[in-house]
Amino acid sequence: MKKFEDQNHEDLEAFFLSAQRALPAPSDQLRDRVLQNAQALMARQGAEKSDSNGSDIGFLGGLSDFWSGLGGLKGWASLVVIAGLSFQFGGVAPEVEAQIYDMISGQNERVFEGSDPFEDLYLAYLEG
Amino acid sequence: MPSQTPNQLDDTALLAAYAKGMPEAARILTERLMPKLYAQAYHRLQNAADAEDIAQEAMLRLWKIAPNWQSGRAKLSTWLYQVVANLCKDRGRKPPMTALEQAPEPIDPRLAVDARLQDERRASALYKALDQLPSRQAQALRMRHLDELSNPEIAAIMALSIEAVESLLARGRRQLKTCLEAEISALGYRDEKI
Repeated sequence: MKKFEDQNHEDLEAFFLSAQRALPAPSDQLRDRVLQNAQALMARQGAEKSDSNGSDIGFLGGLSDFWSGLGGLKGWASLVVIAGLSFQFGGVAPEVEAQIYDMISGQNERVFEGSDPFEDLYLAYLEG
Repeated sequence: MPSQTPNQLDDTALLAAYAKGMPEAARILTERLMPKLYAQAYHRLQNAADAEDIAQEAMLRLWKIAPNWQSGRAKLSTWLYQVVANLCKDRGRKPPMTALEQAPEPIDPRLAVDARLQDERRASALYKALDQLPSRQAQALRMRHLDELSNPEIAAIMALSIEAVESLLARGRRQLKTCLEAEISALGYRDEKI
């Protein structure tokens, strides 16, 4: 409590001092509530900041968000593995699969059943 | 320049640290500012629950403004003082939230019951007398002797010169003494000399 500049008012000072002493203490819950608010706002403002950083840089930001949305490097790796497995186990149409299989295995001249006009002649030749 | 511990930082630096995500800064600011805001509100409203609400609301506004606070704009304590003053003004227009019986215990439980009662009576008389004064005088007296602000701080808040504040305080004290004359005789003050 600051002293009164005018010492004729020491009676007033006693009243102000009493008011200071009669001040009830704030509850412990008040401090907790204030700190909880601080933490909640800190988390929210942090989240908003990272959101706005993403959109502020246009296409790159969008790409970055897209990348993050896919789960980053792990997400992309999973996607590639899934695509490979689908390819291997029939995730594409059978005819396309066969063509691709031929391309890979080098059997470019594979003959499909029922599609060779010289098939009978060839069989006769084989049977003598 | 030697590095400072968080406790040594001023309020503005702590607020900037909070805005950057440092929870310790929030804790220090709360311990430093919240009791003052609560006391300021209590001396205006004489209701502990309302004073707590206002202190909480003022601190919430502080956290919200943290990312956008401009250090050259105003002194943080002055800004907060005005926030609390405005909230008290708004709350003063509404009925009090709780009965006086629900108020928490006084700050110093060691005080004898009769001494505590005397403090409460004097405080009550003081608040009533302040309410009878012209509002500018009462405002200046509250700031100086209850909130313990310096004359330059009061001058900044009230947008007055320091001389004008001194004059306002002098007139306020004279008038307050007149209003409290009966209570000074009845309640005494001699035992409270420092």
